[in-house]
Amino acid sequence: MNDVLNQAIVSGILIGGLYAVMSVGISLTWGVLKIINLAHFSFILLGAYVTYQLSTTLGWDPLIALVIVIPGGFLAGVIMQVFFELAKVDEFQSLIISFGIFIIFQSVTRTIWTADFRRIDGDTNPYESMSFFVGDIAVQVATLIAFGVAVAIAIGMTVLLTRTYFGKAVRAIVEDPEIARAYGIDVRRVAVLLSGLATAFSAVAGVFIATFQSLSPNMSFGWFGIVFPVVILGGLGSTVGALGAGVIVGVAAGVATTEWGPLSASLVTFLILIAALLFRPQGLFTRQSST
Amino acid sequence: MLEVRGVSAGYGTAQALWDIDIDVAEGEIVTLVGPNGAGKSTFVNVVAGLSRAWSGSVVLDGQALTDLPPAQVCGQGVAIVPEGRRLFPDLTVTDNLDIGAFHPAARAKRDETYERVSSIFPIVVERRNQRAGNLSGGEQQMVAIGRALMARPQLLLLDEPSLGLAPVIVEQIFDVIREINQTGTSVLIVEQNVVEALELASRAYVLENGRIVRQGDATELLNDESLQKAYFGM
Repeated sequence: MNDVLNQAIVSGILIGGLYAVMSVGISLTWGVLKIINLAHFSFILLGAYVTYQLSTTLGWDPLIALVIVIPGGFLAGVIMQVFFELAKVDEFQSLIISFGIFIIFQSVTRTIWTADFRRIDGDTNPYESMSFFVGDIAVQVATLIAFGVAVAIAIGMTVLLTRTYFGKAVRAIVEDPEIARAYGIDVRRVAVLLSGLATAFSAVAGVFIATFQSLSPNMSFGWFGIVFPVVILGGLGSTVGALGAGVIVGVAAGVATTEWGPLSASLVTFLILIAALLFRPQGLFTRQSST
Repeated sequence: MLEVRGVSAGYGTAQALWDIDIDVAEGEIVTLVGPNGAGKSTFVNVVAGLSRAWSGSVVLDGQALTDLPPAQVCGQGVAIVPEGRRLFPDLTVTDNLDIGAFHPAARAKRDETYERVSSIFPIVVERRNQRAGNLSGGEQQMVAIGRALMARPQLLLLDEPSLGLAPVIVEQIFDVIREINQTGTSVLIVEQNVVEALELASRAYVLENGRIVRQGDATELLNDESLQKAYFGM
């Protein structure tokens, strides 16, 4: 192993944490609510641009934007789910409708912030250039923090899903919504709260993207090739799976970039997606459900 | 306690029940028997709030259940043990029981009820961390009844509890149902296993093609010649 490859692996693991945060919201709404919500890509993008704007206009540290972005994302998720409930949207329709929402927000973003690249100024963004060395390997602080958040989300969601009545209700709804309802679970209320939580996660991912990347409205198209492999490989609705799959996809894309150049990264991630669909469509980290 | 009056129901445009009247008194075990396809499960689903009645009313202790969403029917004191058990297979046994205790009144007394359920079914403690889907059919039925008891129902609704179980297990399950009833829970049991059900219940209704065709004392029906001919081939 050479240094370049080691560096690619470490960076891949850390960026995998960000991929997990970007994917966990889509995974949860798809796995639990049977809504394939492409609008999550819009909220990742909006989270990033709102962070950029707050930092640029008000001089905020980008991470302080979380206090606006988290409640904003939650509210957006609540509103979307209420709409999906009222419109009685099924899984396939949700894909089409949320693609429409995605396109609308795409235009909104382009109208407000134009198609030019935007980047938070180095004066207000301490994270961009911050890094330290472990041996010969550089660790970028921005991705390290994102990785920490991904781990926290995975642990927090696992505790929430297994230890609380809300979490047990979520899992019961996945398995048998009718019987869950018969035992007093308000399926709509649980769905609305979960959608809020999921969208808040997506918006949080945007904050981290803003800390170390240049923003442009079209960057969200590139996320499809990362998020869907992570969601499928991790297993629908699995937060721990999203973290594991995020790391796998991050490392694979990083190593591919190092070995064969940046254009090969998407090829590799899509190959992972195809392989996952062929050989393990239920995901690496979930049991095959049996009754 | 439970008064069902003039209930008609069905699926889509296909009517499955016509003008059903059924009563369950406090502390009673009542059975609804009939052949496959008679409409028994439809009836259970209407009482549990899972299907809407087309007309008629279901009243429990003066409260009309027919007007409530299913999530609130449970809170009024009706708990269902559905046909085929329908546990949450990937949830542990304990989690399945906790879903039973979901509605606020039951949740407040969760630990107390759990003690009671585990004394009736020691299996829920022995297998507490196993996935419900990995249990045997008999064990699953016990957990399904346990889950219903966690809701602290006044009325326990059992839909074909003997389905797919070995006769010796069926006997155990029916003994437990009797025991549960003796502690004050009323029971409405829907069964194809006519003899066992009539031996368990004090009163019975016979459902055929969506209509009540006979009703009365369970022992009398058990000894009734025409019923014996129809159901036991004697």
